Amino acid sequence: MVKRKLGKLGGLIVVLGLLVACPALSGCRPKAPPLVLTPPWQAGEFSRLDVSDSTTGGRLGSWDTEVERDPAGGGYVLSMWTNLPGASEHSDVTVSAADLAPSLLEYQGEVGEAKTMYVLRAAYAGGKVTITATKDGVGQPVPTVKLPKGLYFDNEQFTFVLRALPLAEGFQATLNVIVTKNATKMQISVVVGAAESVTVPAGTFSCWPVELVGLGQKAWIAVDDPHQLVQYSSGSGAIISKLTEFRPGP
Amino acid sequence: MVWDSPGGILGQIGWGGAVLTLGLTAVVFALFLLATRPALRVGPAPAPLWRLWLGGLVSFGAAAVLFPPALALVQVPLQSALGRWTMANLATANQAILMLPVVLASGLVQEPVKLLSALAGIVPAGLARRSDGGPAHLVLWRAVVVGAAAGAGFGAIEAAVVLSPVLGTGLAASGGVFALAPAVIERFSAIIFHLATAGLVTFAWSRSVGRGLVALGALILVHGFLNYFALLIARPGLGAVLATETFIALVSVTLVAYLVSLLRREARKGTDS
Repeated sequence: MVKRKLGKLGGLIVVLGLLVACPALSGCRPKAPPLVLTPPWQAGEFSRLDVSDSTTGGRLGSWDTEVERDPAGGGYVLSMWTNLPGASEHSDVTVSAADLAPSLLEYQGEVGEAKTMYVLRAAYAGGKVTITATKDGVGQPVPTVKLPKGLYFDNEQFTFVLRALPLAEGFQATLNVIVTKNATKMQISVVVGAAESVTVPAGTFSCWPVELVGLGQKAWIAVDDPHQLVQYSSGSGAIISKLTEFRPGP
Repeated sequence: MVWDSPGGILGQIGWGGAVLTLGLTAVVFALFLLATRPALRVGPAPAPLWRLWLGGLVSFGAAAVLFPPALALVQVPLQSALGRWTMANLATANQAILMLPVVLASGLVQEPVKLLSALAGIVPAGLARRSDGGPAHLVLWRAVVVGAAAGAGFGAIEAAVVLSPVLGTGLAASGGVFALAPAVIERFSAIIFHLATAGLVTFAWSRSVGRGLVALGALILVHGFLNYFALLIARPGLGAVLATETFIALVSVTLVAYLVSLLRREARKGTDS
């Protein structure tokens, strides 16, 4: 009888063990202090990075960024253009000046050998993102995404956010990111290592290496103002982008 | 990998993956039979032995045949719908929370499919009616063998789908056989897991439908949480891979050990009476 009970208990323990371990493993971390973001750029700033294959050294394309004042409010419009084999994309993210919270994303991309044209508009309001999208001019069904509590950013503004973080050796943060292109959201953890000297076509910079944990991506942000994005590697280092031109604006 | 159509899933399977998988499954099933063999030795058989193997073959085949449509037509659309729901309704970007309902759905689809496959094998095995005769513990053992065969069939085709592409790229890579080892070990554990859960549900079902449903519910949860934790632990790097594989192996071996202990206890009870 005792053995029988123990047998049933065995099965129960497996289930309960899994249930109890769940919150422990799923991220019951102590609360981090609130994140303070300081935009380091001026309106009119322009950056160009050359994107290349790190193995062959062959140039793949370009990655441009630009910052402008939002004509409708006090914030900024953060723009990106990427021209790579198989994808030419342009995005404008309108953000608030205080905490870089996005209010609007406008995206246009020509993707794949068939040069499929995607146009996307994402409005951040009322605790959710409402996305409208077209593929070659045809409307696509896109679900809404509920916004997470606390700070959140659009994926298309992510490298700008890295520049506004209070980076220092040992700094860590977990950022809520909305990937509007996929109507998903995720958390990206960043960890900063010791400052490194990085030489790129635009010059030699002392940089904070910022690792995007688990994504195989790393950004090198200049230690000095205006904290330019000096170098960026993705695909676990397979693709590397290097700053070739920087204009701080008027 | 194409999981959105049965043909796409089957299209992943190559000869190398199929042969490797059949080998792994044969080893797992043989070990299971060996561990529960004492149950064979006592009392008159409820039906000729060939009917047991026929039943096992039917349930193995049914599970293998049902795997692609169950995944492509039920699990993937269900998980996709749940994913959209979590994105639209949960105010968090924490993947550990967002993926929970999505991952739990895997058990919700796969465990009932394995039970259905096991039930398909029960009839040809001559175990459909309790009045078919033979000592109760032997009937139970045979039913569990048929159920375990369904689990093995499910695990086998899943392993073939997962291992075939890895086999193609893995051996071509400089790591050779060594590069394949983590995937093979993981699938070995997964086959044990599928066999154990299907065997446990069939064990409970053979005693009463009510117990069977309770066991099914419990093992749906266990299955979902196993996948969930495997995803939570999974990170790049050898340490995380080892942790994930150890975790899956531990749960799988615990479940199969529990099933073996239940069968041995029934065999002892049968011998005593």
